[in-house]
Amino acid sequence: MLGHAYLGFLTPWSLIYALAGSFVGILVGCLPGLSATLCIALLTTLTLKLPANDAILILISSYVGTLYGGSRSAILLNIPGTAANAASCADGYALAMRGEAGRAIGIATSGAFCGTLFGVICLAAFTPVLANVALSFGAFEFFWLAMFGIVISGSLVGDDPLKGWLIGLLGLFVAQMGQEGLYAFNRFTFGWDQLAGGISLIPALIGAFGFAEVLTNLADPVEKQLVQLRDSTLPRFREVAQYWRTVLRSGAIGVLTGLLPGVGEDSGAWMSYAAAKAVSRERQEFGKGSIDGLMAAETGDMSSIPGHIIPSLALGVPGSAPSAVLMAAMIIHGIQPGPMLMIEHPQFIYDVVAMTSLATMSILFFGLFMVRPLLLVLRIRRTVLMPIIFVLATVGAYASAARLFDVYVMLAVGIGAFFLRRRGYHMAPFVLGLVLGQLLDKSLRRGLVLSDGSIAPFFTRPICLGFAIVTLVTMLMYVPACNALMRRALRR
Amino acid sequence: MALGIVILVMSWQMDRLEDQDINPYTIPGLVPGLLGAAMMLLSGVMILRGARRGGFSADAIPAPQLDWSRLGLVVLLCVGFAAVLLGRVPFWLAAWMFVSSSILVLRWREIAASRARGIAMACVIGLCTGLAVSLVFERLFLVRLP
Repeated sequence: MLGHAYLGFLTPWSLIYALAGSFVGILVGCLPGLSATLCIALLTTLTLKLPANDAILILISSYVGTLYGGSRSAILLNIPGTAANAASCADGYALAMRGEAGRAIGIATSGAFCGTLFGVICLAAFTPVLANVALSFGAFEFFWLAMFGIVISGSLVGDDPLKGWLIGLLGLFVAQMGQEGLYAFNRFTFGWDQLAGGISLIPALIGAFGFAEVLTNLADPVEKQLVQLRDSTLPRFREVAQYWRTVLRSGAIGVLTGLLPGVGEDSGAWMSYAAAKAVSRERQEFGKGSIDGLMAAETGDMSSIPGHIIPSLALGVPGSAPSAVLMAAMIIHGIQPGPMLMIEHPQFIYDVVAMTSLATMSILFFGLFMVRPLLLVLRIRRTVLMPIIFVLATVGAYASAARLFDVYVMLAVGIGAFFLRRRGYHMAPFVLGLVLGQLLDKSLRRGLVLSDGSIAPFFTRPICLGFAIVTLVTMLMYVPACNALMRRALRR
Repeated sequence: MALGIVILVMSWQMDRLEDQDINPYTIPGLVPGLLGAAMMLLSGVMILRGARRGGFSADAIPAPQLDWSRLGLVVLLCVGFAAVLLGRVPFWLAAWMFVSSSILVLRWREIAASRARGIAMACVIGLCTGLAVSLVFERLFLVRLP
């Protein structure tokens, strides 16, 4: 099946789509403030009329390209192109300031290529296994899966788990608006017919990640000086081979963090960076231009992309905000991710593996041959670029259902997200809540019907028990008294 | 906290579809009500925590500074384009007006030295954006525009 998938994508059009998607992704990634989520959401509308496989290939390529492109501005401007590239700033910019910007870009290219490739291998190996396990899930397990996602995402994103959980609950609530799934009863629609269909994911995501970014950039514009690129940007094989342990370690950490729902690529980068710093021989160089540090950060964030796609495909639970849009795009194109995917479209999982491999090759192509021309985009002023981005965001919000109501949703969510973000609330748990809200609602109510009102099966079925323990322990860890008790128990 | 209370009250008052004789564990307001209660609980903990850390005292750390007039202007431009112009004038024209006026307003001080050139550039960028987006989306990718 895997060989068939690779053969199916060895056509000139597939290669063109992969290169085009990566190209757009790298351009978007280069521009600080524009996220992978926005890029995929905009391209989803642009690829509505394409066949499913071609459209998803473009979207995956743009996803990989955006995160790779984000390292450019991290290295040359000391501003991460996307949140996932924040860990690359310290060492990448320090290298650039020493006149080694080209070398840093070469290392970022190598790390990105190796990380994504490592992730692709895990994607091919683990997705079918996880999907087969998920086939045994019932309403009780899906309820806990949704709860687990919100709690883990809220705990790991940002500094304050309380804020993370609260914003996750807000996302779950927003998903309850409109007709509910069991009796088609209108909830919180206030007699407004447009709301009966609920809040669509794509306009809400464009609002949270697109319009909110436009507001942030225009309300507080900071134009920084670009570091000049003087040395070669070609990766050096010896240098890459020297750090094989870092690549393997960071690749594994990236994939594992990718598996956690709604955590985002930045966690993969930071955890890989921290792990590399703990064991590196050059740990005193970290933050001052360490090749090991830059390699770890880039490998970690890129390997988390296939990691995020694994739960999206196998469980229908996105690992990050961009993978949530990717999931929405798959649904638009008639492919329902989740446990039934292995039965309904078994070939599609291997197609995604082949698509991600093509995307990896595309970023290598641009990393080897197109570094300098692509940097021209960094010279565009934000006050010129952001209004154009807003026009595209508006089209993106409108196009999926061709209704102006979605544009108003984008505006409302964007303004709300702007103020929430300034108050330290991250949007990833909100997005996850929005995706999982319907699943949580249906699973809880169906579960209660099956158990005739008893909550015992939610805690006694083996998988439920596992999810319940992890979820509750995670929450209790943030209660000071419980935390102290747990530490005392662990010491004994 | 206020939102949590409103959600809980509205969920409690929501129709329980007793006339349809549905299973009482599947009433539509069950999950929203639980979510409202959980939001109240978490926000209550945050309020208590804030109070313990001196968040309500006069010397509490102020909120991050914001240029309200600039933000208001940006919101006005964006809402004006998305909620007023769209659907009422052709898309290319709406995009042209929005992009040109935004660039002009936001860069007014920067283009003080050569204002005529700045205005011309803003108009050209706006027109190119409007025409390019319309052509690419409508003609090339067959996507409907407002």
